[in-house]
Amino acid sequence: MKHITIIAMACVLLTGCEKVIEIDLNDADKKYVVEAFLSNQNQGAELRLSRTTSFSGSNTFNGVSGAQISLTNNLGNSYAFTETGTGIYKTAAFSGVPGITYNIEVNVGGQTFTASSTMPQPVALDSAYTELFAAGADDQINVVPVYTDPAGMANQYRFRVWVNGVEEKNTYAYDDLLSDGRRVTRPLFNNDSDIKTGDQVTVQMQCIDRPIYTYWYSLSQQASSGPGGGATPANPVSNFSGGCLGYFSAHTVSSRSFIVQ
Amino acid sequence: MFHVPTSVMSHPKQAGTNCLNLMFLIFLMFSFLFLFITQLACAYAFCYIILALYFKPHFVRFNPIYHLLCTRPFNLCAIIYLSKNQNGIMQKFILTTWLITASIMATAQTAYTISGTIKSKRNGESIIGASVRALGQNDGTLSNSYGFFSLTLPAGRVQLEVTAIGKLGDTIALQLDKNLQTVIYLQDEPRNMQEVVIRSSGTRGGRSISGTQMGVEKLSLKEIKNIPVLLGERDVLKTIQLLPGIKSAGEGNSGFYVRGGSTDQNLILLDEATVYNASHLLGFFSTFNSDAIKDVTVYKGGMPAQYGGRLSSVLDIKMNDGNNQGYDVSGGVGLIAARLNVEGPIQKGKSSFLISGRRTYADVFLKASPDSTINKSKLYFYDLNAKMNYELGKKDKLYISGYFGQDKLGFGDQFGINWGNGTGTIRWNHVFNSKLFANTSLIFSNYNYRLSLQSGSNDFDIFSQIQDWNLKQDYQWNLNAKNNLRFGWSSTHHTVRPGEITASGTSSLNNQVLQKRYSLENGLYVSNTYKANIKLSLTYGLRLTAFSILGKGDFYNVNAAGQVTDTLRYDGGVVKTYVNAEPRVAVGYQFSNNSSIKAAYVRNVQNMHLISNSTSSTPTDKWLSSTNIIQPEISDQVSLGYYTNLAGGRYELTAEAYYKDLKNQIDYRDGADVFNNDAIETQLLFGKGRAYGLETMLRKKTGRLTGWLSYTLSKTERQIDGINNNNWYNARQDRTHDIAIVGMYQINKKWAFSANWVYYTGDAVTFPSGKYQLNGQTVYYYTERNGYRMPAYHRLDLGATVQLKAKKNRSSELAFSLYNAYGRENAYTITFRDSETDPNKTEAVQTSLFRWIPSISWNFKF
Repeated sequence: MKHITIIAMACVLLTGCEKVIEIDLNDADKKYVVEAFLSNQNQGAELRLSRTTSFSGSNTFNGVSGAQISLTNNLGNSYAFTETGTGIYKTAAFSGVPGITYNIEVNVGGQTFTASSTMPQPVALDSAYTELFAAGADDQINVVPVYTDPAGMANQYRFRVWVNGVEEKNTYAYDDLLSDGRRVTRPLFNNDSDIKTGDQVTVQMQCIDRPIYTYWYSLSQQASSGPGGGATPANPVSNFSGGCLGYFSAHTVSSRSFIVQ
Repeated sequence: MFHVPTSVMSHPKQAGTNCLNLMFLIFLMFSFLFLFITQLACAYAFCYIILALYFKPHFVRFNPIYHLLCTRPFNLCAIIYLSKNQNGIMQKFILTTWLITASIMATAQTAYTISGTIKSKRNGESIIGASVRALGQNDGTLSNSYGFFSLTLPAGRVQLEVTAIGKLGDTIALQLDKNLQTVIYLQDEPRNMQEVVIRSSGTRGGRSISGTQMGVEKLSLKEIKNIPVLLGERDVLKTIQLLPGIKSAGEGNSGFYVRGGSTDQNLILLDEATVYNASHLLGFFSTFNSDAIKDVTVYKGGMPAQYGGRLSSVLDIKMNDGNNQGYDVSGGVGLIAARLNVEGPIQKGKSSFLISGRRTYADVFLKASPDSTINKSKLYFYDLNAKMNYELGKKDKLYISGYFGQDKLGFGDQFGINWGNGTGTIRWNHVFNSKLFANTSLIFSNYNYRLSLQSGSNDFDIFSQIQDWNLKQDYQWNLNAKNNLRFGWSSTHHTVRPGEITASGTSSLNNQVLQKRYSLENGLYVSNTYKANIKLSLTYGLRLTAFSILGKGDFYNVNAAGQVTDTLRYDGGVVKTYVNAEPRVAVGYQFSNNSSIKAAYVRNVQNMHLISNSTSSTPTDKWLSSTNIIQPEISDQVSLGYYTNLAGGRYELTAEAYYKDLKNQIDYRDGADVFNNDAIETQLLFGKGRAYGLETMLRKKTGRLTGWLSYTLSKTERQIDGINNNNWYNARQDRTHDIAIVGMYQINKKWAFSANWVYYTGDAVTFPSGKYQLNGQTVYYYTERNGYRMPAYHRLDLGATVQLKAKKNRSSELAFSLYNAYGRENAYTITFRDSETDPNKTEAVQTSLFRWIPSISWNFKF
């Protein structure tokens, strides 16, 4: 729908114009941001802890050191984190197991944040290719991941795309409410970079649980705010309790790489 | 802009300046008065809420206004019992009796009734809202929407003065010694307004002064035709946005907000049929082709009891009947659309037909593009209005009218979306006798959209529809010289098909049908207008509505976290019935011929809800009926107004203050997944709202220069648990100040100029108050809902119309307009992104749409 709206507007509004403006935005109190994840790929768990900055500040990762982290699962295992860089914490390598629930607790600056995530059963990414979306002068090449959704169960997916080793700044989150049991070839509309013939493309499919789907889905809505776009912008719906931003995801991973023909 | 009139008024300059000073003084006084009035309104609202809470079962009896009613000789006793069933939720209201104990006190004097129809001499169109007044007796009435009137007067010699907007008034002398029936024809007002006589009675366009009706705005077609609009496409919905209390939903948008309500809280009626989506092309144009429209009335408050179903306003649009004197062909060619209108008699003087069509042709230019994707694109809409009326006999008249409109939007072969409304109305007027008029209507309304997508192996379409069948009867009974009774009933069956997906075998989607929803909306109303004496009149009534949700289907119980806890399966029958009593009370006190004060209380209930989280009008916005979870929205509004004519009736000043309390307001949860979800309740949150404000308008009604200055000061807020940390927040449409200045100047027979300037405080919006890095991307951090403001909006539009040489019956004109004449870059959206010049920084980007949009159109008539 968003695309149709944009196209329609482009046609109707011959004189629309865009300019960078100065807006006086409030400086909210700094808030903690926790980004934590583990997969079934024997890479262990990683946690990045940072704080928000003001809108006028720079786009740098504002890491926070010295957090106490505990990660356990419902089988009674626990995993220890060590800080490898400012605000970056990692465990030793291990593989998460589908069906197992992982619990994380972060203690920092007198605050405690907790979350849990259940790793879903894996679904394989069968293949991937690119497809031309003809839009006149704005022709666009999109990546199409191909997979078969398991019938009769709820699945949620998140996709990440790298072009020549650089990750695209897009958020893709899909569920199977409308495509249960289908062979899915849904293009990932690319608003960030131009994909050209000869580019090396990697696409990663994550199987995620429902709260994490809600997180990525609500984050993707943030991008399309404004009239003709979508919802009133809001913070993505976090699965953490305790009042921080961010998410904790235990997901499975399946990837494909190819050269654009 | 309003300083100009002084030089052209027939009065000397001095008097004009004094008059302006006086007006400004009054304007100032009203600003001070505002605080007082809002406090009064708040106090009343507070008392009302307390009463409602503690004495709900007996509420109607405790209402002071009720006491007032009971002491009147004409007694409407509505005794309402409230009982709770075992579920403890459903309230059963049983209207046991409404007794007309009216000792229909035959006035001491013998009285007779004069009734009839008021029509235009030129084309036989019935005239709505014409004033019929007995000179020297101060007794009068207005013609109804079929031009019918009925007036009871003491026997004897009577001089009837008949006036209507855009018509020359007439005075008829009669000997009233029996009940009389008549048809009164009025001449059109000449185009050149130089010799306009100002009438002392103050009835000329002085609709606001007398009676009890408040919160009402009327626009004449002349005003709609002269006021410049975007791309020269005359538009009722955009022109009403220049009136106080009615706010535009955005740049060039035909959507509107009334007194703090959202766009779906407006009841939009075309010949009594509900129009669900009144916009074309994402709201830039409305579905109403002004060639086919006779009358436009907006009720912002104090809605009469015959209207119900929406919280904020009623926009009642009546189509032309068609010329029954001779054939007329008229039309126009503009920048984006062409129009053609054909009308004529079926039986001369008795019955007529009208067909009116409009189509845009912007897509013709797309075809010229060398780009294959663009030249295969579609972008157009069309409208078709048709109507006929037929006299069945002296006492019966039949009207059949229909509207059909469609938008087609397609991008190459890949996307397509079509949507449209269709309505049909059959009405039968019956005059029982000179005092009792009845109308029976059968109405059909349909809205649907179909979205199709084809991309690679994906090929599917989505269909959604809402369909109504409505049968109703309305009776207008001129009981005696003091009482005018109106009563009736209405029954509507709604079918909502929220979404149906059809996909090809290779597509990524399954075929899927969301449950159809059925409901039955019944209404019963009665109201009486009682004229106590020359100065005081009172309208009191009750509308009783019952909304029944019908099976079959699955209904859900949802917990606070938005999870389905229980699925209730119904194979048929009634799932739930919401019964609501909606009191409507209004009182008017006329100090003199020139000034009056009015107060009103109205409750409105809404059972059809538009679920939309986008501010522009997208056709995929969802209409839902109330369910076991989605409760009827309720609004209680109190308003107080002052109306006065100034400078011998040349000017009119009105001021109205209101306070509105809203219940069961709906919004999305954060991160709601709005698309194709059967249990939509899981994505919604419910809360309350309040809105209050002051609306003032100074209108110049006569002379070469006409127009108005309107100013609205207002506030509208919501409180919904789960949004904004459960605190009150500004609704998106909250705008503190809203100013419109409209001027139309007739230079001579040939040339007319017009201009309007609008200014309003920017919408309340949500902007980030911080940011952070997540997986290498910038994510914005939001702290409060709608805590920021868009920049203030202002714009000047200019228009000019020149009459080309007329031959015999043929005439034509050229209309020029310039939208946004000084090229203000008004913000349409403000978005945030990583800076393109310095990726380490973020920046705000403003998109603005229309600047200096000129247009020219040619209109003809022969």
